[in-house]
Amino acid sequence: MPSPTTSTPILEARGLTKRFGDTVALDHLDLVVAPGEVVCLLGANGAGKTTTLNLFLGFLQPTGGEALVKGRSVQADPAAARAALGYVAEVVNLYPSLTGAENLAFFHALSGAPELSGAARDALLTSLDFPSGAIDRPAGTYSKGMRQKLGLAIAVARHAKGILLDEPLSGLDPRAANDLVAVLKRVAGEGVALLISTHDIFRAKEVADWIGIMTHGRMIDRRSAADLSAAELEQVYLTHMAERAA
Amino acid sequence: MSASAARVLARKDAMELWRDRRLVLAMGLTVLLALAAIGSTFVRMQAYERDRVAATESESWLGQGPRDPHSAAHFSQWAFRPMTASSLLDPGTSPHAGSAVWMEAHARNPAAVRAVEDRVGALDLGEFSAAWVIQALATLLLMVLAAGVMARERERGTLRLMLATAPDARFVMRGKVAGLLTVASMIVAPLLIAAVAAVMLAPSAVTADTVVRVGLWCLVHAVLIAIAILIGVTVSARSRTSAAALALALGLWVVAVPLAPRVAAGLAETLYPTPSGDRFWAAAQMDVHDGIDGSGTAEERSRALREGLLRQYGVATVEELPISFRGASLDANERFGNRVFERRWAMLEAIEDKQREVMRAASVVSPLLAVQNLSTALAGTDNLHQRDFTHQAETERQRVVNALNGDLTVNGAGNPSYKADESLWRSLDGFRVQPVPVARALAEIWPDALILLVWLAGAGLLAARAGRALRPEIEQ
Repeated sequence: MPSPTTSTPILEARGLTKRFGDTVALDHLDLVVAPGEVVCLLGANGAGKTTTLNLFLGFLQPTGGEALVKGRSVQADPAAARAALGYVAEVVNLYPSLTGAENLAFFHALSGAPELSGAARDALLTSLDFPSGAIDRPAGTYSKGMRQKLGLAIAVARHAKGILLDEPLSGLDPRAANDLVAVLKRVAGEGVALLISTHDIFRAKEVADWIGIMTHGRMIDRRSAADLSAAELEQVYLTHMAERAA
Repeated sequence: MSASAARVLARKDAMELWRDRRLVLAMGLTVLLALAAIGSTFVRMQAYERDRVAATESESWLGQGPRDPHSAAHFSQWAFRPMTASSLLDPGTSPHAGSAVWMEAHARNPAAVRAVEDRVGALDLGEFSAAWVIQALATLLLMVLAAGVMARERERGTLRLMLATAPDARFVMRGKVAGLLTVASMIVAPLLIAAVAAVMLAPSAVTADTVVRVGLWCLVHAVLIAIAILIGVTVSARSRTSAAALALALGLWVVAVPLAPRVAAGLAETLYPTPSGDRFWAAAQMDVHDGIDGSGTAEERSRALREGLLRQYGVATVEELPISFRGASLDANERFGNRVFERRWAMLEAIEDKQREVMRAASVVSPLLAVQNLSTALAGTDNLHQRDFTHQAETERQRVVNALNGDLTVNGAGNPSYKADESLWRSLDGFRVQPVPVARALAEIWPDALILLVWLAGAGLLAARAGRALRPEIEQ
């Protein structure tokens, strides 16, 4: 795995802040995700995880601070940011009447990337454990796990340097979640920076290099996943939540 | 990259639409309706031409035999407005305005033979024509399609992935517009091909003028389609749900297509009312009887004519005049009547012009008004062409009646039973209505073309702004 300290960060937030009226959705977030690094943002609904992803994607304009992708401000050059990023939503919505292959080809072409050859596509799908033969079926017949993998394939196929994943493990059965975690590790192993928002403490511990605990728009704790067990992580998380509630 | 992204989106949208059988059916029906419209207009045109030729021949101006020239002025002739090939595209005002003028002495008759008068109990909902199918049906179908393109992506969550993947939101907007233009071309292209083929096969000759008219007519309707698509996509991009987008798009269509032209016409008529036929003719007859511009009454004018001629020729009675007093009197009355009718018709045309300005001003509300002006002008079926036809008929009427009265004045002196023969009829025969050159039509309609271009630019600007502001979700 490439060293996070020696490379330019793929994703960086500097005092990133977003307010919706009087509501502070994100409060001075500082964050760095290096190539090949996996960072999970852990928190309850409304903690600011999805807002963070939306700010990196340029869907929202920050109220303060800045989001950088490969050292360039998203606000100043959103096209460059998008060209370097992939995105996998909580539910990857595809065109149900188009086949998986047609969906993949469409989103791939939309990004402006060079055409994906059949062999390259097959190799990619195999690397992501996408069921063989399913790619030519209408996407409307896919399970959630298959849609997540195809969403990941869309991001990986265009050689995204960083991938933003919004609750990718939510709603997956244990086996599908396990499969996806393995796939994510493989993708990160290729040097891709992953920023994942999730509620799932145990999967976060499994996949992440480090974990940021967020609540009410603030990152209140940051832990290396290697430094504590899943049970310890859960305890830390619950303690923070209790403190905030109090 | 932008062109490629637009192509990719257009291809995907076309593929999705193609797999939606309801839309394929709707498009197929629109094309069939358009073909039926062109076919029925083609058949009507052939029937009209047959009737025109038959009527012209049956009147047999040349075969009327020797008769009093003034009787011949009443025997008279029909002036038929030729149906040009381009009128196949848009019947315009033709069914209401009349296509033939009865040219007789003493009166400038309005055009008769109105198609709408032959219809029993029919509702006037617009002529079933190629123009109507594009202006009403194709715009409706395309606005419905356009209303869904972006809002549906937003609703099903694909817009988020699309915006995260595409280099720029504007590419997504351009792609959507390009996709709809592709679909529009699939609907409109067969119609235009059929229309052009019908024009080429029409009974009247196809000239360079016709080709220019048809080409510009197609261009005008392509611009209308583009405006409908741009507005529909803008509505879609700004709407939270496809249902909201559809409701707004349909509302805009209702205002722009069925409502605005009718409201504008009603407003124009209220502001500048057209006098009824009875009032018009009564006023004209009163002018003839009472005189205009201090000319005196009919009796005073007749007395003045008699005294003037007696003085001019130095005789005491009309019987001693070297010319026919009856002929001179008819000629003087005819020329005075011409002045009266010219004045009355000019007043009527001034009202029409003001009404037209009101309609043109209403183009701010709907581009369809500008399109209708352009479409009918290019098809040769607008008021300008109708007015040109009636002016030509009137000029010819005056020429013939004046010549007949002149012949009677010269040759009827001392011969109350004088009869002219075929040589006179032949010298006055051969009237043909001359077509209006397209350049003259364009000189009249350039403001409408400008208005349409402003609409196109405005719709493009709105779409561009909506593209820049495009987000996966619309914030509350």
